Amino acid sequence: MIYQEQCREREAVVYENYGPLTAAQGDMRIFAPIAYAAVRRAQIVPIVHVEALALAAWFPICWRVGAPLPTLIVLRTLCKDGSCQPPGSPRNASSLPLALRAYPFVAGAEGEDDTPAEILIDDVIPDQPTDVGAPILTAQGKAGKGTLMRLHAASAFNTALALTRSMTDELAAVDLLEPWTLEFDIAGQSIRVDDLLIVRPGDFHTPKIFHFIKKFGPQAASFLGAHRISLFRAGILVRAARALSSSQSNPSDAPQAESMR
Amino acid sequence: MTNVQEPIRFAPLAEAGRTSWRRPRLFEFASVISQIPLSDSEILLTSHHLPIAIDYADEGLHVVAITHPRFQRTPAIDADGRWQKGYMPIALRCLPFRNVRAGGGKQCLEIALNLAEAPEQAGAPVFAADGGLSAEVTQIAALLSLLEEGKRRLQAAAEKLLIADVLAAFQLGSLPHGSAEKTRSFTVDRNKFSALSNARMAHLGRDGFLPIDLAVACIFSQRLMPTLVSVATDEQSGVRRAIETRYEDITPPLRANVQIDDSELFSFQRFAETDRRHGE
Repeated sequence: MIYQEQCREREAVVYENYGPLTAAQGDMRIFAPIAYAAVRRAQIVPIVHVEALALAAWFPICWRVGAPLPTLIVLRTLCKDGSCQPPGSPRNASSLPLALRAYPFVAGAEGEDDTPAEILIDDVIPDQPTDVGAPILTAQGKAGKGTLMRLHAASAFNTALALTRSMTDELAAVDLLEPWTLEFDIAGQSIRVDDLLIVRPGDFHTPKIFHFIKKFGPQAASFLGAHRISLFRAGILVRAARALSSSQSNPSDAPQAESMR
Repeated sequence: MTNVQEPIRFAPLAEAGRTSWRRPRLFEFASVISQIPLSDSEILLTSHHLPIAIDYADEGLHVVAITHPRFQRTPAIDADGRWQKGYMPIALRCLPFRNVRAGGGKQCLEIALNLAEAPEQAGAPVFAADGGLSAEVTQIAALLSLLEEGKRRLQAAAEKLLIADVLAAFQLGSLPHGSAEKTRSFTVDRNKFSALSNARMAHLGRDGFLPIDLAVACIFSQRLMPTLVSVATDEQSGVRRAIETRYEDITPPLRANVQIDDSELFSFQRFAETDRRHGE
């Protein structure tokens, strides 16, 4: 089955138990994204280039080292448990990458050659439902509004994925990526995020970038610009982590963070 | 304190007769002066906090951060005059000083005469005991020199965007009868930017990435403006586009009649293709 093969984007999301959507699952109810622990807690989420400019306002956009090639991702927090995200995330819907907007449907599903891709769904129970949810299929057998919204997000992700991967692979092939070390001392504890990559800042005036943009055009230019702008959000992640550490010494100021509950 | 309706008056440091100075704590004046010049080193960070524009004045292009309240979705200055944004541009941080180009291209340090909130109180010394600038003013003067260099590099980058024909005026759409007022400030029209050929885009950044940085920063910062502000697109098309970075832009409305029944699961690929065709 296709879904059992390696998919670098799916590996980067904490899907728990995903498989093809079956007709028997039509009665399964889906809930608001933040009802699911995976949506709230994912530290690293794969993204596609078309959402880079929107997400640059929230998180650093970079790559995660992978085998054989890196994956384009957003880093939502310095904390592995998903706490200490920037103010507004994940409750503000604009902070959610397409892969999380699609959840529990799986982004990154791909067909083999001409074979249509299957719809994959993560068979999970929301741990913090905000309402009663809605079934995947209506009584008439049609996809409900919530289902369509999620499939729409998954479709947008899958449509852009090939070009996103091509650009990533090219950046890696011409050695434009370099390690991005994030290590901070917060309240006496060393917090470190490993295996991240960014485009080497010193290479932006070199022929490598010229050839990269000549190959991929305006989308690549806009994408690289968004990547550069987004890196300033790393400071916000540090501030959010420090706010949590200071609130631990003053519990009355505790922010809404998983690790504080 | 300066009258907020009154322009800031500067005088050359050597002629101003000031022996002490203090940084402004309140910034009501930033609403009146409307825009702050930027250096190339702060363009990306500023785009997270303030709208960036390219102002056409004095026969030249000037890259600025807009501080006028009419162009802010959330105010840059609160009712008490305090700065509200997460970043303050270099030019504001260096006040009450500024650098101007005097005759012969020589830079001249000036000091504001009407910014002091409590002029009767003594501030930090302008001059050191040896008659030269004090250590802190020397640092500010050096920062202002870097700002001037950065402004010139941004000016060159803006000229490239003008030549590439990707600039469009801002429009204020609050006039009666639905008409719109064009401003003298430009931003980057994302449609025009996206329509550039691969070769043209590559050459835009051939001698450095700054023109592309500037273009993307302009587009990115458009989200900080209220919806009444729009981008004046090609006049022939008559289309005025609100400036938003929205998910709707990358996920067009679904028009396909998607149905799942017991016979087979619908094709995700066909779904995406139908969706794409409807979106075109």
